[in-house]
Amino acid sequence: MNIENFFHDTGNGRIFCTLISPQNPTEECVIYFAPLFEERMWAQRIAFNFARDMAAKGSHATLVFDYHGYGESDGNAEDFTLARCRDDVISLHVLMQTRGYSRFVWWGIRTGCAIALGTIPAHAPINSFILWAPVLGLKDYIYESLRANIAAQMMLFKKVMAKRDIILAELVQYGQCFRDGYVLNHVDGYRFGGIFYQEILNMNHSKDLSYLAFPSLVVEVIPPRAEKGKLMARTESTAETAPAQQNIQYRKVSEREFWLIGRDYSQRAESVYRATLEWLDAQASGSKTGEASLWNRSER
Amino acid sequence: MEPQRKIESVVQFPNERGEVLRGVLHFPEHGDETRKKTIVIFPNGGVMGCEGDYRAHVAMARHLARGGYYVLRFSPSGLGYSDGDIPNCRQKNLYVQVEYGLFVADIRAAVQFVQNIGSFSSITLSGICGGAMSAFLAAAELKEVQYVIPIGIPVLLDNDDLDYDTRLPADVAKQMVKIYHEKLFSPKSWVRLLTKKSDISRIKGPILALFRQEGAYISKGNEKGKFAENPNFFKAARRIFKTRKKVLFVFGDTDGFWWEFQRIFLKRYYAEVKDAPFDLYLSPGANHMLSLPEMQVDVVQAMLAWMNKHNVS
Repeated sequence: MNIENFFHDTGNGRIFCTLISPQNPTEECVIYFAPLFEERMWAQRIAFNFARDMAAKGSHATLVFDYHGYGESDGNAEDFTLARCRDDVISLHVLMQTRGYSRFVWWGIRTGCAIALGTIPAHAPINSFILWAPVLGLKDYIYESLRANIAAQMMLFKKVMAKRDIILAELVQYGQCFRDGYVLNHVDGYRFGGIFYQEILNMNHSKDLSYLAFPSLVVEVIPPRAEKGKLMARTESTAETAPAQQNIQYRKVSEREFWLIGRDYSQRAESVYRATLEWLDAQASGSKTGEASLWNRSER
Repeated sequence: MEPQRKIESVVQFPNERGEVLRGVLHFPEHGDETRKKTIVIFPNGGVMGCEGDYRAHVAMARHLARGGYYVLRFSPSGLGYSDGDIPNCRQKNLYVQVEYGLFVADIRAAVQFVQNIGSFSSITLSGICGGAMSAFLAAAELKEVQYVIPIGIPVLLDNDDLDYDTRLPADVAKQMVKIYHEKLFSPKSWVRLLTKKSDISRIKGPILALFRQEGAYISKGNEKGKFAENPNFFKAARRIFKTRKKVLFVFGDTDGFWWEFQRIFLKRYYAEVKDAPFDLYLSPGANHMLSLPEMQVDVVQAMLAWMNKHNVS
C-alpha cells in the first residue's frame, strides 16, 4: 500500500491530508471525518489502521484530513466552522477526482458523523456513508463536555469564573468567553468559536437518519461491562429512534470505547472493522451503478 | 485569518527497522543568513503522534519557527501516520515502555535525518510527558544533541502496582475536593451521583489523596510503600550532566509530576535549584500536558528566552 502525507491548498488555507491507497488503482475513495476535540487523538490510530486494512485488501483508498484549525492544518481551532469545512471537503473531492477516484464513501467517527452530516452539500457525490458510534447532538455533547472545563477553572483560578451557560451565552453574544487572560470556550483545551456554535444551534439534531439518500451503515459500539458508565462515553442509540429504512443498516458490536483513554491500549477495533468490511463487501457485490456525479469547480 | 504558511513541509525517513516515520519540518519564518542554523526536534507527544496531545507541538513549533528556529516534529513507529504497530497492552504498560526508552532509536533516526538535510550548528530535543522522557533518554545517548528541554518529565515509572488514586499531590487534591464540596448542596449533582452518571473514580481519587499525602507510591508487593522511581531517568541525568549538556526542565506549576520531580529528584540531590546543573522553568497555572493554548505560548516563550540566553542560535 502507499501512504502519502501532503498539504492541500484550498485557496483559503492549507489542509493536511494523508492518503492511504492500495498498491493497485481503485476508483473507491473513503473520506474520513474525525471526531472533534481530544477524542480525535485517541481515535486517530484506530482510523488509520482501518484505512490500512482497506488499502491492504485493495478495495478502497482512504483520505484522512485535518479540519481547519486541527492537527497539522492551518489555522486555530476556534476558527473552525461547518461552512468552511464544507468548502474544504468540496475542494478535497475535486482533488481526489483529479486523481482518478470516482466513487466516494464518507466515514465518520463520533462527532465526526455530525460534522459530516452538517457539511454534506447539495448534490454531494457520495455513494455511501459509514457512521461509527455517532454523536449527532453536538449541542448536548458540547454542553456535557464543558463539565471538565469547570473543573479546569478550579485548578487554574481556584474558583469557577464562568459556568457552562455563561460560557455559551458569551460565546454567542461576543464570539468568545474570556477571563483573566484565558479563553474559556474550549473542550479539552480545543477552543470552539461563536460562529461554529451558532451553526450547531441551527443544526438538525435529530437522530433519525432516514433522510439520507444513499446506503448507510451505523455501527453502535457497546462497551464491555467493565468499561461502561464512564463520563462522556455514551454512544447515542440511533437505531432505537429511527424507523426501519432500507437504505440504513444498524449494527451493534461489542468494542471498547476507543475514542477515550481507558485501562487497555489498542490501536485496533476489530469488531467495528469486521462489521464495516462485511457491509462494504455487500455494497460492492450489490449495485455498482449510481456513480457519483463529478463536481465541477464552478459548483463550489 | 492566519496567513498562509509556506514554510512547513511533510517529511519522511526510515528508522533502523526500515519503517517509514512521518512528520513535518518547519522552516524559520524570517530567513536570516547571519543566524546559526539550529533545529529543535519534538518526537512523540505522550503516546500521541507528532502533533502532540492538545495539538501542543504544532502551536509550539510554529512559535519557534517565528523565533528563527527549524523544528522537526515526527511520529515514532506505531504513532501518528508512521509505519509500525504498538501491540495491545495495558495503558500503563505502554507508558512504562516509553519510560524505558521505546522511542529512543527513532529519535536517533530523526537526528540522522536532520544531519542529512542540512548542517545544523546545534540540535535541541524537547517533548511533553512521555515525549520529555524520550527526549531526555535520547539526549543522554546521542552526542549530536547539545540541548534538551523536557516538559513535565515523569521521574516515576508507571506500574500496575502504582496507586494512581493517590498520585495527586495534596494541594491539588484539596482544590478538587473543594469542587465536590460545593456540589454537596446541588440537587442536580446528587441526581447525577445516584443515577451513576458521575465518574466515581474521579471523585474518589482526590478524596483518598487528601488522607495520603505521600503521593504516588507502590501499593502492593515487595516494594510496597516505596516510590516507583525510574532508574533510567537518573542514569540519563548523570550522563547528561557529566557531558555538560544544557538542560531546561519545564513544569506547569499545577502539574502533579512537578511535585514528584521535586520530592524524588530535586530536593534529594540539590539544596537549591541554583546549585543544580540545569535550569528550571515553572509555568504559572499550567497543567501537565499544557492543554490550553495560553499554557503552550507561555512555555514556548520560556524556551525561546532560554535558548537565546544560551546562544543556541
